[in-house]
Amino acid sequence: MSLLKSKYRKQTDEQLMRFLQEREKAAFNELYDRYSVRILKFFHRMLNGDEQKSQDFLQDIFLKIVEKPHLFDSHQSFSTWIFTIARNMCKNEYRKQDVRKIMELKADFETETADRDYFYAQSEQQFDRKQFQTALMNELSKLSDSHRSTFLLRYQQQFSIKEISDILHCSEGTVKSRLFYATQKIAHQLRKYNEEISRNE
Amino acid sequence: MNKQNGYKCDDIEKLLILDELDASEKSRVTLHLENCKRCRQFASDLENIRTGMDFSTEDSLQPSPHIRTNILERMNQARSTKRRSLTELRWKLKSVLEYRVPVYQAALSGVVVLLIILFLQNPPTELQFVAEDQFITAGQDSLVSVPLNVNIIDNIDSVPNQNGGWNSAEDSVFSRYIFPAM
Ligand SMILES: [Zn+2]
Repeated sequence: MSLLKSKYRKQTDEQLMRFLQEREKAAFNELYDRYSVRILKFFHRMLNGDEQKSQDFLQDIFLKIVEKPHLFDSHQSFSTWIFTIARNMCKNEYRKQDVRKIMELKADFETETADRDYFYAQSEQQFDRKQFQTALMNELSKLSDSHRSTFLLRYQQQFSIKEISDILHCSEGTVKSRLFYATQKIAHQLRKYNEEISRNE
Repeated sequence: MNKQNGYKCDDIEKLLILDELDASEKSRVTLHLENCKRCRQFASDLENIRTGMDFSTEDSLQPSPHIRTNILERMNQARSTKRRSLTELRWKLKSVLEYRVPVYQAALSGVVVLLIILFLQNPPTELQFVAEDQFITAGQDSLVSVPLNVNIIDNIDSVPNQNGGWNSAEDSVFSRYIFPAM
């Protein structure tokens, strides 16, 4: 069993997909080990920190892969393929939520403002990375779907500009301009926390 | 707008964001940062964002253990369904071959009845006589010997080929079952 495990560990993602097309469970296990945490964290950020939904989405995406592994074209990269599926799942979810969102927008805004007031009160006393991260996620949740996915694919998942353009099916120029906009906006919003971090370090 | 060694601060921000610099760009950016407080601040902001975004720092979030189990279970189910349908197919094939399927049995009985009718319409003695007669004339220099006790109904229309054998060999074999040797 461990011999089998090490055999799969040496395979590329694309080779593992070929084994998965033959319904090899060990190939699934290896791909799951490699991608489940990454995908879960991507969903978590794309779905505004909804952990239950992120877990459900994680299960759904891997079920899709094991049930229809033949949909994967072995000439493409597995990582960009799986993130394309993940991003499309989120896109569909936003579409579903659109109607609900309008109803909830007002309530959200009120809670957010209260949260921020509390955060500012805290910030004068003590700053740490945890708080910075919370503020970062808060800013991230305010970005549009396309800006947020570009930002996450770059900074959370470390994809290159070219890979992001493949995942999002847009030009590299579009990826760059989305990345400039999102990064500059977030950096500007978090400037005061950054200054605080620098001072404490 | 601040401009140090040919780069505007805006360009520097973009280069820092892209983070895909070649060696010469890297040295120019470094030189700019040494002389520009604003861009140094931006580089530091960016560094904090990168650290904050690194997914490995979100340690608490892990996939629920039941997800893997559920998926493996689904794979098992799919596998056993596939195996079941293969077994079913094999059984069906076997049934047909072993005449287990009622329809097949009915068809077989139909064929038998038809053959009996044919048998009654063409009495074997007459046919056997013609066949044997023909065999004797045609098979004189025959290289292939055909046993005389085999009744060859179809050889009425058959002509020996160049080797002296019979063209309708299949029919001959078939005829053995219709007209058992006397
Ligand atoms: Zn500058």
